[in-house]
Order: sequence, then C-alpha cells, then structure tokens
Amino acid sequence: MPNVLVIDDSSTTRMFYRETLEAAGFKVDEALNGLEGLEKTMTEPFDLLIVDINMPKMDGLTFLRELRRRDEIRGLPAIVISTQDRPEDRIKAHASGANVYFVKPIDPRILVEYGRLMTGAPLMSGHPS
Amino acid sequence: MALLANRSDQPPDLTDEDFQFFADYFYRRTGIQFAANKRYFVDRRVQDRILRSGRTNFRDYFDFLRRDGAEYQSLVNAMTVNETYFYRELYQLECLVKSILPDVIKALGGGRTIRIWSMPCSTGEEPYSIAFYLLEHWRLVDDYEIEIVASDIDTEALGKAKAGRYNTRSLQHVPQITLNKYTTDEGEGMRRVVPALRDSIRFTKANLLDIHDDSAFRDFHVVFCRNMLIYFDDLSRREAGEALFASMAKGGFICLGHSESMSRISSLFELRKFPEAIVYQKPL
Amino acid sequence: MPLIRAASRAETSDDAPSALTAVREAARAGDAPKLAEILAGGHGLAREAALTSLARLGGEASIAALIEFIGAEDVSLRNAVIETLSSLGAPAIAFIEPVLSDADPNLRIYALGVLENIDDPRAAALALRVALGDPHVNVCAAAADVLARRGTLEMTAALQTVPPRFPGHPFIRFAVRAALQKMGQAADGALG
Repeated sequence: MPNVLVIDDSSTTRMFYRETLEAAGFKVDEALNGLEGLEKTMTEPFDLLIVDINMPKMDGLTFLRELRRRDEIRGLPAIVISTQDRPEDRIKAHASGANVYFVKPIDPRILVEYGRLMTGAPLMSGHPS
Repeated sequence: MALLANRSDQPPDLTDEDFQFFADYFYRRTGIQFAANKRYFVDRRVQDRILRSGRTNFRDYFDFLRRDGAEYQSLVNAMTVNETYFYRELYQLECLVKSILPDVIKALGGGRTIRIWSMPCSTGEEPYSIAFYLLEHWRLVDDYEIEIVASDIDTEALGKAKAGRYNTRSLQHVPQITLNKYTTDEGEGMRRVVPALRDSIRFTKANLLDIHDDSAFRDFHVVFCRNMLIYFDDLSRREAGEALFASMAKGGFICLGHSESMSRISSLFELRKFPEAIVYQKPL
Repeated sequence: MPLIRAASRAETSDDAPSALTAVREAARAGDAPKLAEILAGGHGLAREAALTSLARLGGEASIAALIEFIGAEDVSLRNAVIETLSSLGAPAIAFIEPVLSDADPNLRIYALGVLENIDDPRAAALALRVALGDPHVNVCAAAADVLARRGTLEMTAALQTVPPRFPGHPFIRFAVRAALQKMGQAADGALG
C-alpha cells in the first residue's frame, strides 16, 4: 500500500485528500506545515508527498528545497497543489523541486490518477468521464 | 480564583465530536496527536479540567480555555507527562555523545571550550544527567573544557538544584557504578551529588524572554530546552525561539522535549536528523 | 533568487545577537517604521524578531506596517506576516477587512488565512460575507475553512447556499459540509 504524506495547513484540505486517497487504497499521513512535513519525511517511509505552498513556519517552496538537498529523501516524488495560479508560481515550484504542479481545487480523480502514476500503482483503465 | 466545583456526580461526557474537536485543537497547538485509542486518557483528563474550572460541559470549558492562559498551562500539564528524573529521554544524551558533539568539535576550529545550556533546569536532574553521562560515555571528555550552565526562572527549584540531593526514585535509571562515582549516600534513600560536580555547574536564574542583553547567555554549542515551550502561547514561542537562537553559537544544536516539535515553535532552526534523535541546528 | 536555502543565509549579520538587540531597541522605542524597515531588508533572526516585535508592539502603526507585506512576493516572508497578523488578534480585523475585497483572489485568500486564527465573532461574520458573495471557488473554500473554526449555527442556512454556486467542484461541497459538521450540524442530511 503506497504511503502518502499530505502537507497542508488546512485541515479540511487534508481531510479531503485523505478520504480520496484512502478510498483509492493509499495509506495517508498528515502534516500541517513544511517543518512538520520535513520531520515526518525524515523519519517515516513515504512514497509520495503532496505539498501546499502557503503554510506557516515553513512554506512549501522551502520544504521542497530542504527535501531536494537531503540525500535520504531527495528522490521522493512531490506533487504541489496550491491556490497560487500564476505561471511564475508554477516555475518557482518546479525550480524548488516539485515534480508536478496543480492549481486548487484538484479533481479527486486526477489526484488519485497522479498518485498511482507517481507511486507505480496500477493506473485506472479508461478515461474518467 | 477558585470557582464553585461542579456538584454533579457525573463527570461531563465528551461526545465523539468533542473528542475530535479537542484532539484537533491540541494537535494544532502542540503537535501532539491523540488517536482514538487514547480516548480514555484524554476524556478523563479533560473532564477533570472541566470540573476544576467550574464548568459543566465541554463547550463552555473550551470557550474558557481559549481565553485563559493559566488554564491552558494547566491543561497542557494534565495532558503531558511531567515527571523529571535522571536520564530522562536518554536517547538525547546518546545523541549528544555520538552525533552532536562530534559535529560541534568540527565547527570549533581550535577552540577547546564547549558550552552547554540546560534551560529550564528545574531541580537539576537534567544538568547533572548531562554531566554524569558525558563523564561516563564521552571518550573526549578530558580533552575539552565543558561549561554547563543551568538556568530556571524558579529560584526555589534552582536552590534544590544547587543542593543536589535526590531520592532513589529519581536516580533509578542511573547505573550504580555511576552513582558511586558522582554521588554520596545521605541515608534514608537520599543521595547527594559530590561537591566537585555541583560546583562545576553554573546555576543561574533566567527568564528566557528577558535575557537578550545578558552576555552570560551567549555562544552555547548545545542547548537543552525540554518541555517548557509547550506551555507558551504562539507569539511567546516565537520570541523564545529568537532568544534561544541568539544564545547559540553558529552551528549550535538544540534539543526539545520528546513530544515537542520546532514546527510549532520557530522557523529559525534547521532540522538535523541523527540516528538517535531529531535535533535542530543554528545554521553555520 | 537562490534555489538552495543555505545560500540565502549568507546574510549572517542578520543572525547575530546584535541584530536582535537592534530590533529590541526599536521595539522599546515603539518605532514601528524602523521595525518595518528591518523587516523589509532582513532575513533570519532579524526578520523574525522584527515580526514578533511588531506583533508585541501592536497598535495601528504596527498593523498597518505588517499589512503592507501581505502580498509580498517572497513566499516565506508573506506566510510569516500572515502568521504574525493572526497573533495580533481582534485589532487586526479592521485592517484585514479591506483586503477581503481586493481584486487579487490570492490576497483575499491570505486575508482569510489571517482571520482563521483570530478568535473574534467578527472574523466569522466577515468570512461568511465572503463565502456568500465571492466569485472565486478557492476564496470561498478558504472562507469555509474560517467558518469551520469560527462559524456558528445561525450561519448554517446561509452556508448551504454556497456549494450550488460551484457545481463542478466537489471540494467546496466537502469544505462546507466539514464546516457545518464542525459547527455542530448533522452532516449529509443538511446538504443532500
């Protein structure tokens, strides 16, 4: 069962991703800011990280830079899902180390499909209608 | 100010929603998570706080809690295990010797002095534990001048720390061979830290939020700040983070309590993960 | 813009104890403009201390100074400012209110982020107003987050009108339902 860490300061958002991903067979853990996310990523094995940008104490871009400079965890796939919708926000996120960038709100089916894609789980057959 | 206690025989029940609400709140404030299997643990303690505060239900209590700093502290006290004793959180002392000090030495350059701060030191178990452990387990202990400073805001606790007398319960995790070297038997189950060791630790009164002009609290290579910041409100935690940061040498390390996290305290430090523990570092 | 966090720490003088002393002096003098100046140019300890000092100082000049940074391009600065504005509590609300009608939906979201952590009934009232009238789904979702923490049962009926405005977005229905649940309302029956 792939293990996903959701890093977002909105408890509603974390709950939404959790329900969506658990229903699709993922195991889900949560962190409410980038620093808590970094602590968990350094101490528990995750297969995928879902990262918000705007959070207190450590924002998503800083988290990504920390992720990519630490040998033990730099290879982990990271999906950014953020309200920031300008091209430069997307560029900054990729420059900091995001693999994929989505603007909120994300379609839950897309979340699941990308989750599967990035953890090597079997993809859904056919296209969601 | 004591309020009338709830006269009902039944402690106020927490609904499932109340429990979840409380758990979310406590997680947000402290980083401590209570899963469903901790339900009994949480309910009992929250019910006790509700009664002691003179409220009759969870919602009223929560409204009160949000406005009252003293109640928040009492609540945190109730929800966390506070007993202080020697060699508490031993993994941090192991980390000190195996991982932290080797790094500190690398950054020292030619320096031979290592400054360690135990803040808060409470009644002294922590600074003495650090001293015992270094003497027993750090093979380079004689190659460096180790300055241990131990501070607390509570002068009564400091007095006890300076006196250095402890009972067997507090010392139970310290090996006898260590006790024989660094403590003397005072009878009636009490032991006292030997004078040379007591005198080698500098005990000082300090309020962390008030020390910035005091040069006595500078250039620490290692800081132990355990189970204190959890009691502070958000703004005070940040200020405390600043004070700690300013008190540390570049590359210095700070250890928090076992269930504490810098993610609820300050953005200034860098996370370092060692095999024994997660600690935080002031950047070089 | 440095990609590696370590590089941005080159301004080591900002992390020196003297930087903290300078900030504390400005705070003691009640010099909000000086603190804002340090905030604008500073990093690390100097920046963090300027923020907490402005929060401690409070008052119109400090809050106004902080609000200037709510749209800062620097992501970590902006989020630290949002966090700091929250710790000012109720006095910040009057300054946050105009930002709730800014043309930029991102700024409206940041303003709601400040309100979420302010313990005052006006925070909930403002969030409800936004939830009922804002055209942007993420802004309404952020308003729902505020109401999940601060909303009251009287807001239920009004809140239920929000999801029908965003039919293609399961998250807004989820967020409103979560807000209603936290406000003490039974979940699915109310929304259908």
